[in-house]
Amino acid sequence: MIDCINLTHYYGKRCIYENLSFSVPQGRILGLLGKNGTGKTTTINILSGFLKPRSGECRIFGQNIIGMNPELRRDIGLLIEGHIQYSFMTIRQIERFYARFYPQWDKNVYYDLMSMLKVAPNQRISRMSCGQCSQVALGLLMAQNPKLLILDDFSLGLDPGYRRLFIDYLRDFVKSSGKTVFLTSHIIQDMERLIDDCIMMDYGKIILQMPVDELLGKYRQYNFKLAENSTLSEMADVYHPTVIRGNVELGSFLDADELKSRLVAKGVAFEDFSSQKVNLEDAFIGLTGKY
Amino acid sequence: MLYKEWIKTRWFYAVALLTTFALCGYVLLNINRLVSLKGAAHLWEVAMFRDAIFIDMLRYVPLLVGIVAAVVQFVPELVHKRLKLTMHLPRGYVRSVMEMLLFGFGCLALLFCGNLVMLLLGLQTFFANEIVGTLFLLPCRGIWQAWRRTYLLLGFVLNRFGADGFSTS
Repeated sequence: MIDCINLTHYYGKRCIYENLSFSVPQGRILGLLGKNGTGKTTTINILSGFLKPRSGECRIFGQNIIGMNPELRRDIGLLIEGHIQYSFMTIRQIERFYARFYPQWDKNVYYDLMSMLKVAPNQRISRMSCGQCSQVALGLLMAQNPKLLILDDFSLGLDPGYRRLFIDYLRDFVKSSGKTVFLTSHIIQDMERLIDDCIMMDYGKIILQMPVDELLGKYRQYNFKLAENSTLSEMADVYHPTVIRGNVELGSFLDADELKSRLVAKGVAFEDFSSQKVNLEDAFIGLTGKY
Repeated sequence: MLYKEWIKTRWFYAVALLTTFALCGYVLLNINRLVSLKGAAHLWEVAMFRDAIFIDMLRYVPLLVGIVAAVVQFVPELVHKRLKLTMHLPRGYVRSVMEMLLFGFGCLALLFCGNLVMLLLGLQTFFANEIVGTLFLLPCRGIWQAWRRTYLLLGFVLNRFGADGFSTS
């Protein structure tokens, strides 16, 4: 559904990323995870055709987005960071406005969601809370009924209740109709409930792309205590080890026995070895580091 | 697109209509007062031999209305990068911007045509057609300024600025 090949982008002389490649298969929900400034919104802007990468190409529905037929955007739903909409319109006016652009528009889906907000149809969007605005934006996306949804930081500004509501509605909508979703969020707990696959970005590169189930099934956080006079040296396949007063915490896709044997081989003496499964947020921090 | 522009700007155009008609009415009342005080013959003489135009307080009204119209129509599109919504609509971006500009152009045209008709009818009660024609050159020039220099230029600049803004985000 989406194919990005060797994307390179700079802001001035600052490299955002070089030769970034990924693809989003049809019918999957893919989350782009990364720290602030790693280029998540830049990627969304490139995917939306608002930004031309310095090199590389991005294809949606098989067409290069630069020079894409505008009518193909009927099948792409876009949620802008902060659930931005035409706030000078009312709930009814904005529905009427968008309905004219999309032949498969389903206003019942939109008004069903709006009826749950308990706001009048003539309420202006600018006078609604951030949570209510998110529901308006979601309702419009669902009414548009696109094949592909691109959501930029959908959780921005939402309290936990509205985040949960947004995710549950979105997941039900997407799974019941086989949509493809590409999304970013800075709240990774939310992603765990929603996404099938994830891409983790660090500055300038992709660390991994894999199904969330596989990631959570294989990734482990290990803790152990270094024996006196023992130090932890550089090791392959180990992510961001931290040592505080002899207590080591690190993440790895290696199983416990393999890690232990590598530590022994490196001459690292340790005790109180333990391993645990982690949630997506801990895996993200483990893989990208705290800083 | 026109529906959106109308929702966004209708209050501005309602206020602009009332304000400009009130100003035109004020100018005509002033002329009427001068006729009562000094007589129509004196006014004709001043208009013909001293190039007095009597409606010069309207000189900058079209310009100001043009500036405010551009701000009212395009600033809400740029705040919070809302222009992305328009750019994502399933139609050419240039076509969308042209429709937005034409909408404002048409509304201003209607507004000022109404003003001109009111001034024309009012001035014809005081002056001969030849003098009215001379007096009209000024507001027509002002309106042309508002259309050409202000509205279209400002609208274009604001849209250009908005589109470029994404490349630095």
